[in-house]
Amino acid sequence: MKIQAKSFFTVLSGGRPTIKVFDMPEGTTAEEVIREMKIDMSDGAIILINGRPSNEKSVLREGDDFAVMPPVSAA
Amino acid sequence: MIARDDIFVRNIAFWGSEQQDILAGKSVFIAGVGALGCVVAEILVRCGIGRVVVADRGVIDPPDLNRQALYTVGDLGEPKAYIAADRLKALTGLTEVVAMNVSIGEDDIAGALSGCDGVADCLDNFPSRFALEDALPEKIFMVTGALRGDYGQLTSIIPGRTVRLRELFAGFGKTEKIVPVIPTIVFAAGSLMAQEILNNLLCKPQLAGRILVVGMAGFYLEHVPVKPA
Repeated sequence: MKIQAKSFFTVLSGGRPTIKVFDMPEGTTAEEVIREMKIDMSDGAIILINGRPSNEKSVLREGDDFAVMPPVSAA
Repeated sequence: MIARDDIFVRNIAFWGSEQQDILAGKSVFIAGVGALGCVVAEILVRCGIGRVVVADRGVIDPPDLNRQALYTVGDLGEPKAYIAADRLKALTGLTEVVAMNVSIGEDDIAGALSGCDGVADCLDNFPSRFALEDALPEKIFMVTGALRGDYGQLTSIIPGRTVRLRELFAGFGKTEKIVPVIPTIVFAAGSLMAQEILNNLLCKPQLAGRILVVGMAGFYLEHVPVKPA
């Protein structure tokens, strides 16, 4: 199944978001897509599937719009 | 005393006396007067908001001076809420400023929140942000901002209508000791937060259901749609 994944982690280093389309097996989780994108989310991340907050264990479906955003906490 | 219309002549030239009068009748609770809180509070006072409450139990430390706009080296060791309030009162002399030397999540802020039209979440840790959201009265909006490096994320939280912080930041628990943050994003994101507070006060929120992503080095801005989980 095709998943479009967008990472905002690259905005942290002065870039634009990275958008990739992955061909993944049924039952793929958010965590597996994040691993494919080589994102270090040891400090956490915002995970959105079709605009809804989700987590690493969320299972993706064909055509899902997947976004991952870096950890923020300071003010 | 200087006439209100003299101080705000350029605001009024842009948005008119009617809007200036509306803002003079509004009250905003600023949770945390660190980096974002200082910028948001100063802008709101210069916009002519009638009343701000600044809540923070911290004291001014050397690492604050790279980005916390209301403080100077002469303020080290002093309580942020009281120093911020003094500086804010002195800006125009027209905004009522209330200082609360409290810890959000530990002290009772319900009474203070209920007397406000909106809340600025300028806190620096998730347990306090979640406690603030839990204490948010129905029908009172909250504009939240969070930073890392030169990157920022802002959104409006409207109880019962938008995503909750607890949903959005569910993956974040621990607080790093030193989170990198540079001044440029603080002033830019604080200014954007203040604008969104004005938008909410005028019943025209732009970030309800959207996260505004800001990256300074690449001049990057994008709205990301977000729905309740």
